[in-house]
Amino acid sequence: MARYIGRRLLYMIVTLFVIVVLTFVLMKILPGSPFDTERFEKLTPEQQAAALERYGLDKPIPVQFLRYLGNTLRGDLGTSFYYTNIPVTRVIFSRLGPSMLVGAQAILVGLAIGLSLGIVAACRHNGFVDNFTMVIAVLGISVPNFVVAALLQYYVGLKLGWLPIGFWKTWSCSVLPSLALCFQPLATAARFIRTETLDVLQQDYIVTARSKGMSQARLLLKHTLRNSIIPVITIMASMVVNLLTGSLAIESIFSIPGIGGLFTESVKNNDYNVIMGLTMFYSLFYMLTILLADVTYSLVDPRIRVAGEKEGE
Amino acid sequence: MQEKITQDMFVPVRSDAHKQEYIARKHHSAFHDGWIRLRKNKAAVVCAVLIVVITVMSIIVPYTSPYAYYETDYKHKMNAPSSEHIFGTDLFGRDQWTRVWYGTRISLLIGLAAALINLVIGVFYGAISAIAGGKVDAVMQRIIEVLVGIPSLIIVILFMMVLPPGVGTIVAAMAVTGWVNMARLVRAQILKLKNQEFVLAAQLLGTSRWKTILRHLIPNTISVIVIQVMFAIPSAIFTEAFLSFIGVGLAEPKASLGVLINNGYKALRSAPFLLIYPAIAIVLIMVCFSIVGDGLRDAFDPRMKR
Repeated sequence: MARYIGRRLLYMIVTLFVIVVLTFVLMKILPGSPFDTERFEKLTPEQQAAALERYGLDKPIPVQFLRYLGNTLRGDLGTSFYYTNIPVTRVIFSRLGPSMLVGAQAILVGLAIGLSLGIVAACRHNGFVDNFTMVIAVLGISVPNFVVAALLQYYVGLKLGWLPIGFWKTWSCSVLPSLALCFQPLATAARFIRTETLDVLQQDYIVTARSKGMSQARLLLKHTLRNSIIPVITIMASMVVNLLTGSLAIESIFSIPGIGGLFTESVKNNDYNVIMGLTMFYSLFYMLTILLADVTYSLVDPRIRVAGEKEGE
Repeated sequence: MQEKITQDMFVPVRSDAHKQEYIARKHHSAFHDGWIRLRKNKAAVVCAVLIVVITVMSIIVPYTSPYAYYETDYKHKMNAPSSEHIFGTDLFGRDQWTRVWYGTRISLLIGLAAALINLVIGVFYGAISAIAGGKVDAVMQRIIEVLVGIPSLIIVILFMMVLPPGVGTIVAAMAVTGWVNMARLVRAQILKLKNQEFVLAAQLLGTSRWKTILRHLIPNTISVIVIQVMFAIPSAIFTEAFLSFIGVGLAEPKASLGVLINNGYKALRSAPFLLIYPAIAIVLIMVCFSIVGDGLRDAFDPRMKR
């Protein structure tokens, strides 16, 4: 296990390096410089050149890259150009909260509803709940969340006026965006848990447990769920990252000051250090979550040895 | 009256081994088998027909419509749907009916192109990795493990901002990391097949290496590939729509469903119909593809046989 995790961490470092190189190159190809945006309009060309020199941006790209790499290894991600001289880590963490809140709410609501729907659907196979769940599952995956968000904003926010839209102050502002985001995890969870539960319910040990008179609830929670939850964990891992780190479209629709918005903003302003910092943060978060999911399997199901091959039946 | 017993009454009936083993039912190939199962799935059939209809409409309508997708008419801005403009007109007086179908065409094109590129790269990469085995496989798998960790959306957005906007750019950006899944699936499938008895039998009978690959390994992988493509198309359409929605996709006056949804969203307060129709179009396409994809998987994936 320790060796497995160690190997995975090694890959992560390589992956991170590839991402850093790729992002750095792409970023430098972007037209413009950090100091020719509206915010720095008043700077004369000489002042702009001076600013570039001060941050070492006049050097050849490989030199800049090595310097950046060196600083990063020492734990210094640099400062933002746009938010003058504020450290990148602080810029990112100040925008992290709203994204996390909306994402976490969406995941929790989606999982809770999705899992219960899926399990009930499997118990009443081909019944009303089952058909209903399948329709929800197909729709939830097919309807883009920004369309849901736009419609929710228009009908619930504007027409009915039930919930606030267009600003970010109180908790109630996070309800609509969370709702818009929760459909995808809901649909995915419902779909996978349904298929798996159906599969498990047909197995001999379930029949045995049933014949011994075990109650349905106990049967589902103690005997079925543990086996059927595994694929859901796999699927959810990458979804968690996507949601927690903010869906760009949702953030712009509901004007949430999250890190999705920060990313596009920083790319538009050529805020190099923020782009790099954010990409690294996102990638690390992504890879760690997937690793965590892989390790979680073996905890939920001791039969799966993480290092070994995962063979089908 | 006793019948005379003669020698020829005791001649054994010659049994014909071929006749004994004769199977009256017509022979079905694995594909035919899957096809029969697919046909029984009504939802999948309806959706497949719908996809064909939508594709044909998206090709025909922009040609036959009296308006061009870029043709502006400032006298009729944001008109509600009428007999003249079936879906109404947009902010610049362009006919929304034409634009929705044109956008559908572009979106389908992007989805198909992206899926095909993933297919070609993914199948070759996966097949080479699995068939070569050994060190080559190890190296290729390490490369994949590195690529899997890349959050693709971030890279796609960066690409879109660096390169000039256009259909080609979107497809290229999505191809950078999009093929990894296909490569993994194809490799897993071929690895599984490689050690099965029928391949061993073919090799024992002297089938050449290439013929084994072409006749035995590839045909048995096709169902996996087709299913994956059916899921790759809607996901590419979705990604394109997402990119256009956040403003890094196609540029005006070109239209894709994403661009139309974005424009519709901006005009939502005064003309909700501008959002509704492209939204319905994209949802319909996504639903159809995912139901057909599911149907194909149920029909062709032997593990799903019940």
